[in-house]
Amino acid sequence: MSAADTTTLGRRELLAGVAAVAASASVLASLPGADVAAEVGAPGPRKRRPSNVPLYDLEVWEAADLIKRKKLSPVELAEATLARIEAVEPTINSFANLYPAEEILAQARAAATEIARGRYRGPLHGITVGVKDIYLTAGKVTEGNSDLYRGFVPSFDATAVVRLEQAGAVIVGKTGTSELATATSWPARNPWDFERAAGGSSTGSATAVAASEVMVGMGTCTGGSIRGPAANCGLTGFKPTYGTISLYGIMPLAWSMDHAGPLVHCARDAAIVVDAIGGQDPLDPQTRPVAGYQLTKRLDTASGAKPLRRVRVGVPVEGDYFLGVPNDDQLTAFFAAVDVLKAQGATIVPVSTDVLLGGRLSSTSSIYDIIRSGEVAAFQHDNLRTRPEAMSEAYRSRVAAGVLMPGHAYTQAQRVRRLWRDTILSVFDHIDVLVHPADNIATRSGGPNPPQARPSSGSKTNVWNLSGAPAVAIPTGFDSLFNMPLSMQCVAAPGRDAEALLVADGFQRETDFHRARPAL
Amino acid sequence: MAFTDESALELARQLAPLWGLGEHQLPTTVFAGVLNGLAECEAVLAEMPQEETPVPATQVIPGWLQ
Repeated sequence: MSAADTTTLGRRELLAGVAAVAASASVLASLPGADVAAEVGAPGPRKRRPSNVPLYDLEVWEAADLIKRKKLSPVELAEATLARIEAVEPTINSFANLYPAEEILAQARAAATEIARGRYRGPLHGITVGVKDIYLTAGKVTEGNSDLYRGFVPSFDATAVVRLEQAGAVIVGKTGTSELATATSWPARNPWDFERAAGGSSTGSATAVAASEVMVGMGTCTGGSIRGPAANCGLTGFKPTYGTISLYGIMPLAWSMDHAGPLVHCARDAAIVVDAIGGQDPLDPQTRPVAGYQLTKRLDTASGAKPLRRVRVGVPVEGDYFLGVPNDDQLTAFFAAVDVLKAQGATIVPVSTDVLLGGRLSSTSSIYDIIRSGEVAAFQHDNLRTRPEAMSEAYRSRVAAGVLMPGHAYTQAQRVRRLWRDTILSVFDHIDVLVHPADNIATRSGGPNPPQARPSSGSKTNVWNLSGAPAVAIPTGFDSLFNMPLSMQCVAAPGRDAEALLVADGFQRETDFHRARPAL
Repeated sequence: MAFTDESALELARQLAPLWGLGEHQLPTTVFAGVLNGLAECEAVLAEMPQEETPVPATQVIPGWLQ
């Protein structure tokens, strides 16, 4: 029996209502429960939800509001989190390095003391966070699921970790990752169905949030490693504009496509995380020249019954690359989501894109693979020569291909990337945000799997790594056969992160898919 | 003719000694995709008048979007 099949009260009602995809918002509106807006002072109208939500199931902004108003102590939240982890972690296996309980509680007590003394740091103060095990953490083993780094204890924190600590977050531990964010997978279980893939490479960050072991899972994304697992696990996963969150102290895969970002339950939570840790870092010359972000403020200014009024949302036309997804449920849920956006006031604009340059490219990987191999080879060629046995065959192949490819290959790919990028980003000349369905549904090795009505047109995620555009994946329902999460992305032009999140938030104000939790 | 994993591996075997790599350091996957991708990239560039071909994208976010 899958985890989804055993979903309990509240979640069970929700799933029963939406098991066939694209359940309408009116079904969701019938859920019993307290008005969250009234309880925690949410900006703008939001859907009702059950009032008996366990602490560990709250969204960040809900818990933050309670903490700020001293209705909830970070210690209470940490204790609830530890109990949850003890209950589910033996099954889910999200963590590569779970910190000792006493250490977690000490962080929570420090936060509680500060808040009691009137020093509230902001909405991450006292919030539980898991950090992907390629973020360096001073004094804490950081292995990246690689034999190259077994037992490695960094002497400093990644900038993102420093900023999480400065924001008062309670860091619970290091979450499992695919080998150096690309190869051998991390053996976590998808909380919605233990037999189905959780996705990678930010695997443990996704499963930890989906299983309510933490409220924020920090991930990285070079070709889809935040949005892929977010889609598989029913989460909101945000890859901000390239250079928004410092990569300093994060093990690189491919510098020009690496992005750090959060996996959370909702778009508003993603905005909160970027506001807290984003911004220029003198230690990372690739960060954008922006001192700090105020994405949450932008979401909060969209109020009223039509929060998406004056927002132009592009929807791919029939036959477009971005509708070339294999499963019909995924498409059905997507178009139902577009209807919700329209009801929220968005102006829907049909758009065509030219992802494959008029058929000149067989795949975006024709550019992507060269750049990834060239950049990872620059980082790892010495280890390839001296310690190849410490790399999996899959990782070794990525590095070796970069070492052996012709020297001009990287430059040619970057030349075409410029041409391609300007072409793909031109879609934003006429719209504010492009929405499109996720490509896949979490698969099960050996099946049975959701039916594929057509072959995929190609990756729906690495497009936005190559272009640097902000993209947020959000849940849109559940497939009709296996009750596995469905997903879509909201994408904006680089630097327009708030617009992408605004559309995601507009959808989530009116739906409850992001509030569904698997029964564990 | 497009590379397969096998033909790419054979090319890798020929090139590897130049870089001090042995049989246990060769790409068994990915390399074919890289080589075929290069052929596609070069074809895209070859279709354009050389003076109009793009310079490399050394800055991910275009200046007009910063």
